[in-house]
Amino acid sequence: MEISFQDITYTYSIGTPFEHRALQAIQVQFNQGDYVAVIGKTGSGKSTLVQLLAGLLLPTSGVLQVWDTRIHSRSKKLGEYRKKVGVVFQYPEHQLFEETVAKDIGFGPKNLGCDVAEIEHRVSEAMSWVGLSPDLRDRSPFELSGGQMRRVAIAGVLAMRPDILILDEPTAGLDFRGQRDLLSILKRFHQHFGCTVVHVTHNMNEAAELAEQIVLMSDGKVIATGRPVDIFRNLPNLQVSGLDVPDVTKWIMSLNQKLSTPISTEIYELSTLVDELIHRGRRGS
Amino acid sequence: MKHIKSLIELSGVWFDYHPDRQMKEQWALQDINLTIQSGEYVVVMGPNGSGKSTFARLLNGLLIPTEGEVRVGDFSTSNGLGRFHIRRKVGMVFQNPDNQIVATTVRDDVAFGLENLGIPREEMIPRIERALEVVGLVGFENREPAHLSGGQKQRLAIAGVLAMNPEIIVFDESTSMLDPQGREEVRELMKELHQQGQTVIHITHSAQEAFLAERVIVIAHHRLQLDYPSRDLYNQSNLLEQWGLEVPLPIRVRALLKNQGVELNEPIGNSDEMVAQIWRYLSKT
Ligand SMILES: Nc1ncnc2c1ncn2[C@@H]1O[C@H](COP(=O)(O)OP(=O)(O)OP(=O)(O)O)[C@@H](O)[C@H]1O
Ligand SMILES: Nc1ncnc2c1ncn2[C@@H]1O[C@H](COP(=O)(O)OP(=O)(O)OP(=O)(O)O)[C@@H](O)[C@H]1O
Ligand SMILES: [Mg+2]
Ligand SMILES: [Mg+2]
Repeated sequence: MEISFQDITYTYSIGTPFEHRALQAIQVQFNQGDYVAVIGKTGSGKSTLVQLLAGLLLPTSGVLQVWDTRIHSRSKKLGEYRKKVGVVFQYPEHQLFEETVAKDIGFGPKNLGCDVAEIEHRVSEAMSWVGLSPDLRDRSPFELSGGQMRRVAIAGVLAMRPDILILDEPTAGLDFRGQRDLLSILKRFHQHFGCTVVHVTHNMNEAAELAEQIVLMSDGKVIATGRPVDIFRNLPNLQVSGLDVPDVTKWIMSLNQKLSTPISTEIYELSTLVDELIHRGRRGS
Repeated sequence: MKHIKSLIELSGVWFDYHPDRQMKEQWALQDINLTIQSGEYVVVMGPNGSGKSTFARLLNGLLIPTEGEVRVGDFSTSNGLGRFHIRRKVGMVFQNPDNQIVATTVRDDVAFGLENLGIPREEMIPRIERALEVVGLVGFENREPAHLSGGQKQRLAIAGVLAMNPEIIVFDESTSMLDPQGREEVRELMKELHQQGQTVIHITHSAQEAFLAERVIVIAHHRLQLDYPSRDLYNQSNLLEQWGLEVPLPIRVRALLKNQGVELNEPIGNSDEMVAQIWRYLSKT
């Protein structure tokens, strides 16, 4: 396992009245190249977990091992490590700072030492991936709508081509077509560059459709890990965590109440469900 | 039915952030004519950057039309006195809660709006308690808003506006960072506000949320494109697809089946009717 959280605890504002333990005894492993979804109720510790992985917070105790880098409470000089990790924050306004959209997206590649032509290439490519019109290149990133800002933040991180791509609620605020397009870009990006993706989401449909592995968090702990089918089979576990099954699953479950031979609840893609229905209709079930 | 005077009235409204620099066909909002009655529950959908948040800010006088007029009750946002009254009538939950958070504790943050309204102290306390209870932030009173999780911030933003008990509440994508249970709670809250006679305007990308309202408005390409009672729109929700917006899952399944030659002709009004229709299709041999 190339990425492992070894008995990690994280406490915010230690020694102040605001002291708050956000993560407790986290043990979790990913392989290089996995697509991981992190799900869990509001306040369960998802953003804290991914900020540790990004090297932005240091564990209070325990060790985070990523390839040959060991991150612990006294780690220093994570600069080189951070260059390999790209993070799209939950509120993208927090990461935009340049004068123009193009400079903002080009900041990462520039920092990595890309030449002007390469920066230009990556900026245009990333803008088209996230569906940003070229007209917006010279606009200030602060004079954009919420969904446009999120697209800029995502483009900036994709342009870095990181080894670990972290996305904290990347589809929140995107219009429906934007959500669908982003999911297919993420799938392709992951396959093409072989990067590890860690995708935090409240949207169970996304987790089911994209993830190879799901990490389910509750109250600062990881309470389950597994493939989507393993996680979404365990309804009680989901409900205590403030979550739910994907919409397609919910719908199949209500149809199954009427059917003598139930449809598999392991179907998450609409097209697969439709094929199954047609198949059964022809056969006359 | 007795004649009701419109509560909100936009007539010939044009707006841009830089009207001097932009050609009129690129303005953020163009030629909006619309009325909303007291007590209506309206959803606004539309692609990213189409003008929804701009529309919301025009309603409470945070932005003033470049051309045309916005009236709320007996007042116009085009003059100072009108804006003073309108800001008390129209509460707005911003798309990014950081733009709304002002104080250093959760309690003071909710109190801030009430102080501005001149609410006496003894009335403030129960109002704050009630609002925090509704959004599930009891126990967080002394926490620092900046140190909340993404979803907790969004709940706080909602509490701040609820406590003010405005006649009209605009929710600008206020469920985008909530877990499925949290979303459900906010949907229930909107329903209750509506039942109590408050006017609810909800900007969202979710079809499921859209069809809970009585009326769905689509803003796309900076113009008002559709304005339908939601029950009439359900079976024509391919109109939403045309703007890249989400269509309810049962309607999508039905469209995919029909594309493949399955005859499903009766219109459906909700998910259960679709389940029944599919069941009949599967049962006939
Ligand atoms: N800077 C901070 N100081 C103190 N406590 C914090 C800080 N940031 C987060 N917390 C607390 O730590 C806990 C975990 O927060 P985190 O942001 O990781 O949650 P999350 O799972 O990402 O939630 P959400 O789904 O709402 O974004 C929460 O209870 C939160 O209030
Ligand atoms: N502060 C600003 N200054 C200049 N232009 C702006 C500003 N805010 C928004 N715009 C522009 O105005 C148009 C409408 O933006 P608005 O925020 O109303 O869109 P929206 O429909 O709310 O989009 P989203 O779904 O992404 O939130 C967009 O083209 C946007 O780029
Ligand atoms: Mg978070
Ligand atoms: Mg908006």
